[in-house]
Amino acid sequence: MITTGAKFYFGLGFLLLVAAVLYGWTSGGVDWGLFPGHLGDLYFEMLGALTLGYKGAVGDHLGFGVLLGGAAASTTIGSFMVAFRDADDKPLAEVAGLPTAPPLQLVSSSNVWATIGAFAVAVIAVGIATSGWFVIAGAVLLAIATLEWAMYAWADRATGDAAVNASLRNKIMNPIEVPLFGAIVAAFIALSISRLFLTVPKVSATWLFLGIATLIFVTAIALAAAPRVPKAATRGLLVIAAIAVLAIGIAGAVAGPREFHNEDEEFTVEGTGGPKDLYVYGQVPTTTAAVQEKSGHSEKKGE
Amino acid sequence: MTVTESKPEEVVPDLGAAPAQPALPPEPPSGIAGVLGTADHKTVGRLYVGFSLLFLAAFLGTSTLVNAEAVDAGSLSVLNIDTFFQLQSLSQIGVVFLGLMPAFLGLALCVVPLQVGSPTVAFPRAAAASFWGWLLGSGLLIAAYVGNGGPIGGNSDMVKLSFVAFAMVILSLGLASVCVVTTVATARTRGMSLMRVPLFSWSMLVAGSMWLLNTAALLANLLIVYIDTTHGQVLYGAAANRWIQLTWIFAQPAVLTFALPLLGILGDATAVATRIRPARYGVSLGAIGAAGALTFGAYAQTAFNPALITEALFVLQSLVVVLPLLALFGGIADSVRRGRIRPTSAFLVSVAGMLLLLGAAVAGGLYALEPLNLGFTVWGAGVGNAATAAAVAGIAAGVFHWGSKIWGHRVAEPLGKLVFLAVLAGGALYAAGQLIAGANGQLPVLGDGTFDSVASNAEFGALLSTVGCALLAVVTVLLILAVLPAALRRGPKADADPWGGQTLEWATSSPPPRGNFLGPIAEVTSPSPLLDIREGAAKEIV
Repeated sequence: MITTGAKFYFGLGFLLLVAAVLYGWTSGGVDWGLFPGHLGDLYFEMLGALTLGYKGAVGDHLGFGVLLGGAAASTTIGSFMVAFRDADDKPLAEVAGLPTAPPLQLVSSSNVWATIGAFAVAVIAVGIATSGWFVIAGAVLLAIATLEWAMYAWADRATGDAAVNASLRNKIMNPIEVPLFGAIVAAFIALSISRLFLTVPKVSATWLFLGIATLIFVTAIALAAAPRVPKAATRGLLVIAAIAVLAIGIAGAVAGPREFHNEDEEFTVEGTGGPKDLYVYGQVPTTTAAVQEKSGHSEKKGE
Repeated sequence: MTVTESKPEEVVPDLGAAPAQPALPPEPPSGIAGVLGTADHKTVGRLYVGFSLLFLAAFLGTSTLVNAEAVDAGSLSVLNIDTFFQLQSLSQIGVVFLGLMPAFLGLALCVVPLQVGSPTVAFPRAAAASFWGWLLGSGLLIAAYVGNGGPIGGNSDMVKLSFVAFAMVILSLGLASVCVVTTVATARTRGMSLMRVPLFSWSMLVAGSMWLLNTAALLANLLIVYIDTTHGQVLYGAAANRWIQLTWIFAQPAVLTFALPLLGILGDATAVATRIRPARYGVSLGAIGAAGALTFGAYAQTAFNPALITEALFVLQSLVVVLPLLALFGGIADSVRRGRIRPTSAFLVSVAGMLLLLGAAVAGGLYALEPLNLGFTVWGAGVGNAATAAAVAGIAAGVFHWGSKIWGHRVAEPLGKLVFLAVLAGGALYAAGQLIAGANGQLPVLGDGTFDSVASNAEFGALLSTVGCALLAVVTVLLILAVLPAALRRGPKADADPWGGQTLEWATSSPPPRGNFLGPIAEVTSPSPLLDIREGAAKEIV
């Protein structure tokens, strides 16, 4: 028996196939003068469309191809509808060996990976139009989102108990997520803070480093010493810290690094020694002798 | 079957044989985290409807501005030539892909699982991803246009971004269509064969399938255009040719697909308004299916085959598509004749939409008749305008019919009567203006923003279209105003079944709980399961 859904998709497929033949034939131009006396010749004109271009030509290839593609797609879906009996309850239950087919299950977890996946696609879209770096960043994010999404999809249906499902997921993913997340946070902090240190003068950077370290130390002691800290306060503190680090990073990147040339020149001219005087800004590191030779050579040139 | 005399939502017949509902998982988080991480089809649907109504109002507004520029055919008055063409393409894309399609999909994501008795939508996370992808893609598309992108834009990066963002919007809507179609095809409750599926769900199966087929070809067009843009116009020419390769989706027959869900909404609203069992249900299903099949338009690309509008297939298709619509309209008229009519807003607005859609189909048939010399005139735009207005009416009808179910608070029903008048007048004027100009031989605007020649009554026609488009924008604003209190959870709470509905969505509370239905659902034995229960209960009492 052909089911209702299959009737629609087979009907659509048949309609598009007939349309393809009609369009392939008529869009090439029809000599209606052959009607009715020379039907054989008229049929010969149709042969290209009837044989899908195998014996003879069709008119507009694009339209013909699109109609055939539509016919193939809808016929394929129609075949699935027949095979699965329109996914009606009774045949499904029979196949599953159950009295009735079970309804769809609600997903048991709330997670943002579908949203992050969509955001990753948006980043890729921006990258395709502007810079390859965005494409790479978006693709990495999309890969992570896909993995997480797949794990949630599996865990949501692992057992009938949502708590067990969550525990199963965490057992598998936490060993990957925690170090990865830690590395990302460390990289984020290092990158942002380093922008600040590269921007401010050298001496200030030293004091700033000490100041930040002290602040973190004192805050940690205060948190540890407090008898009870509300979760919301800790979260709020972390969010403020993350925003501050991000702001510092952005501000540092916008301001750009300080001028290193003067520092190095000063260091070398004064000859305070140490390994740093081996470095001449803008050149590959070399030996002290080579630097001296280079400097002597230029003096000679100057003479 | 055991039944009790009580309100439908409390009736849980046939408990013995019904499958047990799955245990509900823990409550998801609330607030922004809950919205960002949601897999609830109702939340995703509400988000789709809300944002698409805002986009629809905005882009009908820009379309009004574009139409107004043709009132004085001599020159452009407000916009410069580049802005004019940019706004023209953006408003067309915006109305259809940022307004009409997502609004219907949003309604479907909310309502279809309820209608088929499913606790959720198929692929709930994919549905959520489709919404965020669509929203971000829409934002990127608008940003690209603002940055001088779009088909004839001057900034090459932004031009490319506009094509990629458009593709992202199409892919996202395609994903949502897959979720809806799969839900109708595979998630129906016991006894609900496709012959018994509610008409809106069936129309979404048909519309979703046709959207997928048509937009797959549109994606291929976009790929060609993108390659042309990035690799020196190697395939089909320079910037001027980019946009015309994509315009077939806004022309007949493809443009009629965007109004297909209206047919299902009209069917469901009629059953409620007439309070009788729909007759010849199979014919209604067949008519909607046939109307859908006859709107396949991906082959009708005049950019590649300008003589297409005189081809036998195009002419035949344009004429025949009227028949299933007439059959459906005849069925509706018969129901009205037999039933005790109650003019709900949804019924009135959907009838207005049906009249506009019939008008579009008839005008499309005339467009294809070569002796009338309408080909390549703005008559074709009139067909598109009528179909667009029909789709706007469909969305309005859907919101008035299911708004209280979706948001749980009553939607301002009195505004519906105003929407009915505005959508009928606005749609008629929006289409008639272009049809009058086209009948007088008016050709579309040229590349420099002027007209080759101005036909008599063309400027009058443009004025009518401008007024009509403005009225449709007002309709959308009225719709937002009608929905806003309910969306903000203000005003009186909605009943579970305010209409005496016949389909399963009215058997649960408003808004539905998690899992949609509190208990197991009785086996469905007809397209009107709640009417069966009511009639069964009445018989028992007798």
